[in-house]
Amino acid sequence: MRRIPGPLFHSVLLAWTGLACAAAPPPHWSFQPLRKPAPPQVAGISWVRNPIDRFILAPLEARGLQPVAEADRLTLLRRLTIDLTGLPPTIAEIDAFLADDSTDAHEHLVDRLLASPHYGERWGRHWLDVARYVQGRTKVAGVDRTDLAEPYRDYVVRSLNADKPYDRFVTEQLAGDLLPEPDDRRAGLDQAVAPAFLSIGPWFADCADPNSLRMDVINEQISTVSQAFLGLDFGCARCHDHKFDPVPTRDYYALAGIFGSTRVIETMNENWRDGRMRLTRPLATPEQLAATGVVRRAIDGLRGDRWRALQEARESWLAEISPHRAAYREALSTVPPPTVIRFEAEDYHGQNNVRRVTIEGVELVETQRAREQWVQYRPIVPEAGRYLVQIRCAAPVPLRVELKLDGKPVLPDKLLPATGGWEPRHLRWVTLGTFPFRTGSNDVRLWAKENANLPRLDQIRFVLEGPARESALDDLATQRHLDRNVLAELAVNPAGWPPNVADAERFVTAPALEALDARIAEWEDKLPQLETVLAVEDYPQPVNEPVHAAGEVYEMPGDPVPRGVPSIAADFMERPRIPESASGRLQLAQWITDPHNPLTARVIANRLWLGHFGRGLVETPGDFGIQGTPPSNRDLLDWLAATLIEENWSLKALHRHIVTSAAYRLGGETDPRSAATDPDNRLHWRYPRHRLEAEAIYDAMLTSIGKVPRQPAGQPLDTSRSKDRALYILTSSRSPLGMGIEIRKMLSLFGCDPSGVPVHRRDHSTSAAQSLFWLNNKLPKYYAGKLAARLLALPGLDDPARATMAFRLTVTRPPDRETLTRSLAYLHSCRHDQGLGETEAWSRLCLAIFSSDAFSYLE
Amino acid sequence: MNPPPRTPATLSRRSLMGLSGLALADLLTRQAWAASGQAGDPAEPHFPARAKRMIFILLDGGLSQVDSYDYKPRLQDEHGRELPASIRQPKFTFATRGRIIGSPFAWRQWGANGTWASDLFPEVNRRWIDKLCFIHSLHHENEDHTTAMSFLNTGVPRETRPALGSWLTYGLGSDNGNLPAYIDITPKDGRTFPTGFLPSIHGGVPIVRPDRASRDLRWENLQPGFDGQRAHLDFIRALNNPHDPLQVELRNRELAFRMQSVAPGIMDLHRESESTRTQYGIGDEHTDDFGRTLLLARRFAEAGVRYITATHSTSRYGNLWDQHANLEKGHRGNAHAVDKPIAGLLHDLEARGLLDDTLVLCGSEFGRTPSRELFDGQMGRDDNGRDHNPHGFTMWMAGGGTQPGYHHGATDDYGFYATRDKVSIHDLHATILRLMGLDHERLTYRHAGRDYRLTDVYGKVVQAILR
Repeated sequence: MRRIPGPLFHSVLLAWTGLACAAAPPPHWSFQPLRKPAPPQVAGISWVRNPIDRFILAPLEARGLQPVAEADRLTLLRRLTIDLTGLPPTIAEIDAFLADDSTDAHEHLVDRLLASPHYGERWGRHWLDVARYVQGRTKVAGVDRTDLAEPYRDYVVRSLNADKPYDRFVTEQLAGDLLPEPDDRRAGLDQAVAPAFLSIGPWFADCADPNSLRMDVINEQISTVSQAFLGLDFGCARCHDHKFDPVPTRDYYALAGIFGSTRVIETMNENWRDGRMRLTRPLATPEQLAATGVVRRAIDGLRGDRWRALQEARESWLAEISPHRAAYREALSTVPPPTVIRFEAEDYHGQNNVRRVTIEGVELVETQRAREQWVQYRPIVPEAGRYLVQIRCAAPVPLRVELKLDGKPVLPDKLLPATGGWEPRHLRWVTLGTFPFRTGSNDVRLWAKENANLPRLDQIRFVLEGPARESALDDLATQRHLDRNVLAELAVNPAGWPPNVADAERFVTAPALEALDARIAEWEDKLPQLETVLAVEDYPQPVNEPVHAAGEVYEMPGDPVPRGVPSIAADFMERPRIPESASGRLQLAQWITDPHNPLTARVIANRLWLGHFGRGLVETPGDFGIQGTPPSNRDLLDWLAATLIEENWSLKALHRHIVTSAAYRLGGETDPRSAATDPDNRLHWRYPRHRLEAEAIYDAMLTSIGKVPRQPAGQPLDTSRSKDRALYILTSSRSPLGMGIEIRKMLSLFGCDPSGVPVHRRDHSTSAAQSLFWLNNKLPKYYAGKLAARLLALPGLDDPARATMAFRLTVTRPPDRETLTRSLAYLHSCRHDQGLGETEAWSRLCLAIFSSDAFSYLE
Repeated sequence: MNPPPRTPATLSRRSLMGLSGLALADLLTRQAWAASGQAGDPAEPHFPARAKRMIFILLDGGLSQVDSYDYKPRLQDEHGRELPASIRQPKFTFATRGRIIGSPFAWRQWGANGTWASDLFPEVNRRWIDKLCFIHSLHHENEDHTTAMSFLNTGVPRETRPALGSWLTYGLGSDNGNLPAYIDITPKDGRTFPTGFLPSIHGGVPIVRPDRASRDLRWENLQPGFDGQRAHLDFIRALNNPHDPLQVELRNRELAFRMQSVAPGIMDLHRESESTRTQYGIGDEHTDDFGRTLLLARRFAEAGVRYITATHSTSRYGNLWDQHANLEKGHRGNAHAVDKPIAGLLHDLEARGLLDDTLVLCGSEFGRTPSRELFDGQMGRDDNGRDHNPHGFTMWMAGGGTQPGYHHGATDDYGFYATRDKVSIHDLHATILRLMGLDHERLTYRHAGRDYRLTDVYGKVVQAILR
């Protein structure tokens, strides 16, 4: 029996009794149908710029309060530019805006910013929080160097820049793969990429129990989807009916059927060691895929031809050499036998991600999971010297391996030849090279390169080479007209004679083979290089999921629950029927984006408000349920939500309503009377100052040294021009300064959660660790130094002008007289009290500005 | 040396000398570190606390219970035989399991109580075994390191939730306004657990080695301040809006400044006497690393840090404590590296009168199987080793209000499954919270519409181990 945590008990009882006993309690506000309220009448009509302002002003007037004055132009420019693009305005943008004295300068600015390709980066980042996107997390072996969540990230940025209607945006992420193929090629590829939303979550693929893993994946998807689009966490209903919200366990398992019928893992192997990779697909149109198939079939055909040609070549070569077998034997009797240490491949000393298999009676070693594979041998050699290392292996395609000797890469990248296939008949010897071994035990490891497959391995051998022996063999070959290669092979491995077809490759040369190789190479050049992306698809046979008692993986007392959408709002919403043959994702998307759905539009409208003001009208943007906070201004939220639907789900239109309102243009200063009545500014009598996200703070340092060129408004995003922005550079290997780790630490220090759970509201808590960062970390020091250099390179400026420029580049506003005086005094003290040079003194000044509140807070 | 200041009063006098007349009284309360989030005043414990602080000695990889403190003579007797049918195989296992292997270590009775233990930890056993409190019946279901480590630290295997240290910080605040309340010394892979839904202020501060080869232990972004830093801070203060300053940012900057003046002193192990350093094994090639780790842990504990994890995560002796092969050599080397430092820590805590209210916990994310681990179902090609076993394993506690010389629970005759008085990780968490004065059912945090607990809906305090 599960117990409910103590402190909850009271409220649980209240909730239950509230739901069960009252005669006809009105449903919780967010489950009520959405209606567009009429903007209220207000006295201060001159303040009103659009309907939003009436909703704001009416409650203020009711309490006898007034909004504060409008913010000044520089504040508004900075606020709008950072809010809509995540970047502070450039000097040119500042000057242009100040010079624009038209009455609708504000609206022009809004239009320009909404058309900026940086808008998608800024607001895409907000959405990526909800979608629990983490850079570099979803790595898939074989393509491990690719971050497979990146295409999804770019899809989000593109979609927002294109102002894709939100209902479409939702549908694509849930079921893009199930939508009809559009005419537009780019749109088709976007549909293919979008459902990665379901696949980028963190799950633990190495879970010992595959059934637990399966239920965990489903749970992660249900929880993320319900929070993102509906502002409810259905995950709670995995174990029991939701304690507070009308989400019965049956609803959960109706959804579990939908996601359980959705394939995101390539093969759910029972043993984790066999790998459970995320499903991927090449990013290509059906025509491109068909064209690729043609090329592949042509190559396969040629490889077949080549195998037959090799067979023929081997036969004629054997016919030629077999009569002389006695001569070889006789010749070899004149030299001492070579020192050979050999292992069956399966007698390894250690391994990672490989396994032993028996194919046609032959024991081999093969890849178990294409991830950091190696196999280790410990040859004990009788004398130090140079040893020839050879492996007997099979693979249908060329594979790259690395050889390490005592931990050192002695052969960093070796391309093994294709041998014709994976089967024992395709095994052949391949020489890796000759390497120095020491007397006694040597540690030899064969690694697969870049997490591709290893070939199937049969044997490995180590043959001592020495000048005496080499020249003896040379002499025998010359004097007795024998084949040097055959001599060497017979000396080492007489029992293995004659070589099989695959191994004959080492001994024969035939023009036919070369010609075929050339043709194969030609075709291979024609294979298009297709980007690999995460794929999501329906299983051919959808299954319904039974309720798991208390969420236990193996406790399924009842019948399967038919796949279906949640029962919320069932009295005024149609529930789409899910066809037998489909998972139901498309129907779920239809239900979520149904204009009658009471939650969808409210939740996204609130997210927009949150993004603009640092606080939502509902302060729990991921929880619109009974435990969430009620909206501070429900009519306003409903008006925004209804307007969004009315205006064809255009997010940009809704942004425009919000940022052109008088409410958005308010100043940030306080007012004693309002502060006494509403200290928390819930009524919105002033603009709420709030901390910028980690990315915006980083990007502001980057911008101050001129590293993010602005792209023309209305043009498609050229990511190569903004690739240094925090949105793109979380991985250490590609960071511009070799400071990837520092940047990653900074982002997490300032509230960017790298753990892959949905984030609905950034953690803006401040800490002394952040202050230590500004004091001592090399990252801000680096940018302060660069900014100082930039300032000093500006010609013809005196100290006051240069200091003014420093402020304008960082915090937009020139310093007031007092600040300027203090800045010059600080510069003076850096130069004279501390004896710092020019660049260093200016660096200190810039670092102080970076550390100031104005830099990190949006006023 | 002078012990670092422990009370806000001495601190304020001390730190004020470096400050230019800022009113600091309010900065020195633990509230500066405790809840900046939605919780009420969390600094008052629910019960009188038996332990004021905790040091968790985490042996990363999986210490074998049947080779250390869970004596199973049957393993020796039945070496090479199959496990009997009465010992069921788990439904899914991390690796294939083979026949029984006897413990390669010498077992004997130690101390006045005659406690059976192997010779893996001779220093700890000789001086401390009668004062340790053992739990032999820990168990969970997570067969791999990642989920087991997550479960042990956060109470959930595969989600992001706050770690024990964050919960303690959230619940109790810090006893030193100049230091964070949760310090993570050489955590696995250099990363602490994310704070999850708790505000980041409750996160662990990692002390890491700059690189693998280094012996230095470093605190991110903490340096003795640059010359003129005071002037720098005053200038920043002047830049900010004088009419509407962000008090919280101001406080943080001042706290950071004070931390810079206090923490480097704590980090400086040379302030300890030579005999203390020797006692921890510092200077000896094998014990130097972990000796430094634990001495630093004690210095933080003494300075009022609430929760300190000291992870033994160097891989000098093979694959951490994860002896799938080379059991004897690997465990022997690892144990040698930590034995003297641990004994030294216990001795030092006792000598300073800190052991009574410092809870020391030592153990791994799981134990190891009594049977040999097989690669690919083969036998005999690899050196002896044991697989992961979360089904029954041992940890010990010392000090902090635990019952000395007590043994709680037991495993089956082979040391595979916990059988008597089983203790789940949730129970362990509940018990630790109780020792620290917190009720695990009342320490909650509201997130995503739910009141979360470290122990979820589980957990029972193991009363028997409370003194």
